[in-house]
Amino acid sequence: MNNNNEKEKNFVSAVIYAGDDAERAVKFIGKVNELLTLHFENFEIIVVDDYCKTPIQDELLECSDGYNCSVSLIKMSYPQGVQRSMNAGVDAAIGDFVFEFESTAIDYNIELIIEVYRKSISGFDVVSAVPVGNTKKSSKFFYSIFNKYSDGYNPLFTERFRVVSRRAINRIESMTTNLVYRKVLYRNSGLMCSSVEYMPIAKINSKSLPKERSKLAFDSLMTFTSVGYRISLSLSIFMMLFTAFSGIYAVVVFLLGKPVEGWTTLMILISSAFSGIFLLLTIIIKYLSLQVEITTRKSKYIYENLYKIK
Amino acid sequence: MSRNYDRIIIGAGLYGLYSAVESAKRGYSVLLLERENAPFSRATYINQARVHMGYHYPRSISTALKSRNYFERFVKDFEFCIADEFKKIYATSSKFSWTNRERFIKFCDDADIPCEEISPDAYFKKGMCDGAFITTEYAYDWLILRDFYSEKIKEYRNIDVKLNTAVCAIEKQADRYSIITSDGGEFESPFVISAVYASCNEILELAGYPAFKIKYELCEMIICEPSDNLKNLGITVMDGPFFSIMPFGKTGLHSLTSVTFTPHLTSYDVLPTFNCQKDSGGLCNKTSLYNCNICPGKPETAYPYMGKLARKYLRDKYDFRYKESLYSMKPIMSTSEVDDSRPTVIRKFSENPTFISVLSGKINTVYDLDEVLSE
Ligand SMILES: Cc1cc2nc3c(=O)[nH]c(=O)nc-3n(C[C@H](O)[C@H](O)[C@H](O)COP(=O)(O)OP(=O)(O)OC[C@H]3O[C@@H](n4cnc5c(N)ncnc54)[C@H](O)[C@@H]3O)c2cc1C
Repeated sequence: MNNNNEKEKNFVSAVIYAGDDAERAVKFIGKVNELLTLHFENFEIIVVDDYCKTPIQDELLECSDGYNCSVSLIKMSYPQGVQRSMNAGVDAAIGDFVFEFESTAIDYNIELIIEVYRKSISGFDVVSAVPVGNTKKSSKFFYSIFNKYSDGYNPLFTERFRVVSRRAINRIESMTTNLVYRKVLYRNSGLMCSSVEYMPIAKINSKSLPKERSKLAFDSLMTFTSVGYRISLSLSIFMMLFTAFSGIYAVVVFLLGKPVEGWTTLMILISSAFSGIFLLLTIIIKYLSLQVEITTRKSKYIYENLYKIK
Repeated sequence: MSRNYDRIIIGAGLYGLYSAVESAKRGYSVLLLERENAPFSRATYINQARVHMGYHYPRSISTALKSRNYFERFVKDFEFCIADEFKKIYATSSKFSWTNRERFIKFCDDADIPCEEISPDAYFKKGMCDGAFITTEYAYDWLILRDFYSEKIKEYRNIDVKLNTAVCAIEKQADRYSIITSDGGEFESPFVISAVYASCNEILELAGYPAFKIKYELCEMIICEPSDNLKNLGITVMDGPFFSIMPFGKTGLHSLTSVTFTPHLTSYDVLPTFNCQKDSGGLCNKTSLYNCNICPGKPETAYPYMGKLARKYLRDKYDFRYKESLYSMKPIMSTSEVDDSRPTVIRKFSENPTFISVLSGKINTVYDLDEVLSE
């Protein structure tokens, strides 16, 4: 065991999203406590209970004698999903470096946590643990679209957990408080990001609900990439071209043949009106997307209380 | 042989000394019993020394209003021990606060206490606080106050002080109480005041009266050396898991406390039961609470946490250096959990003979005693 002199002097915080499986979470917290005790002089653990079905508070209190650090519990007022809960947890953390565990499932050797930390102190503000191998098809699809249409220069991957420096937390805080998807913000923070790849040693069933995941995927595509704007823009241009074409067609028919009385004027009127509408729509959509960004700029999570377990 | 006094006062903290002197002024013969070897050895020494004006209680306007009224009187009466040359900043944290900038302004307005808004960026890291205010709040110096009272006691020949003397038994007779002390002494009086703060239920149990409904928190206060920039500043971040760093009286040092890390252990039992009591070498148990500050079982410092928390908020130029940790026990009325108020509770359990127990909420509410003392 490391004695105190050899332990890391940096203060680290571990923010853990408890998920729905209190038993697994408590086990995980125990492991993290053990590992960090070995390597760090000072650390804290912050558990976020996102309105878990089996309340975790009592179980944590039961184990509290075994913890070698301060353990706090943030109880959300109603289920708000991983991202908002993690925002709450990270806001409460005081460490120089913060480990973000969005899940308590482990498919890695626990020492990987230290490896990721070491990489970070070698000069990276954000380091993620990235499982290699069979990523889900849906995730692959999402990341490929995301990476194509976002302007961050650090590509996004599936990641199991990450460590971030205080500097990175401050940076994304000052960029926006619209933290709907932390990992994207870190990637776009302009700071040095890196990852440690590992071969999963176990299979995990993703516990986060498919509905939440797809909503998150959709929201982040809309907020962080230009996909939404591009789709609507191309649709509008297409429709505009289409109506313009109808207009030209109407004029040509008028010049060449003998259209039904009134048809030409009607067609010209309709096509020019529609062109205008599509043009307007494009502008409105752009405004809307800006509005989305501005209105989501308030930090939005609602917690019941912050309890001290130890 | 037992000795008789008009009044016996248990505990030589501020509340006990104030009671002793006020009683002596009225011509009563007074015995002051204290288990430590000097007055002011516990909470009156080990606390944040804040002379409350009310800012600290944005969730309890009644506590705030009362503090404000007592503030002026206390500062006037004890002006010699008041540190008032520092600038006191209150700020509302952007995250996890039970209050915010707008509500704090409204609260100060309602309580009619001064509050001048400034930019949080002057003192805090970007984004950490949504409001910052220059306020009026002072700190008292426990040592100067103790010296003052030591002199005062000498002035009154009708006050006897017995140090190193704990109360061990209390018996109610027809018209008086008889009190037995740890050194075998026996004293009698028709009027007893217990001003023992965290030991209040211990004494009530000896007297056979119902206990106060309280919880106990074993608290650690950090004493640190402020950097030059911090020297003339006191800073408190409201209202939740934050911190406060401010001059510790006139010592030139600062005290640092945090809502989350200052309390180390909590006991909800009627008499304080703590795990650390087994490490006290037999000095501390639930029926005889020892002085946490000199106890061998006192917990390890939480400075790494408190220091980190403060530095997370404060700009780097307001730095400080750890000097030492002080420990004391804080009793908190269970009713004050939600609004965070700190009332001083004075309960009269018997009249003729009279038995009064006071559970102090703050230093400057000591005047609450006037009513019972003037009888
Ligand atoms: C961490 C902390 C921070 C605080 N911060 C502030 C603040 O900033 N501002 C503020 O106004 N208030 C604050 N308070 C509250 C304040 O300290 C108390 O309200 C006040 O000091 C209580 O004074 P006292 O005389 O009642 O108690 P004490 O000063 O504790 O005196 C009680 C005395 O009784 C003695 N005693 C106990 N048992 C026996 C016995 N059996 N026989 C004989 N003697 C006995 C003790 O030895 C002790 O000397 C704080 C308290 C704590 C613990």
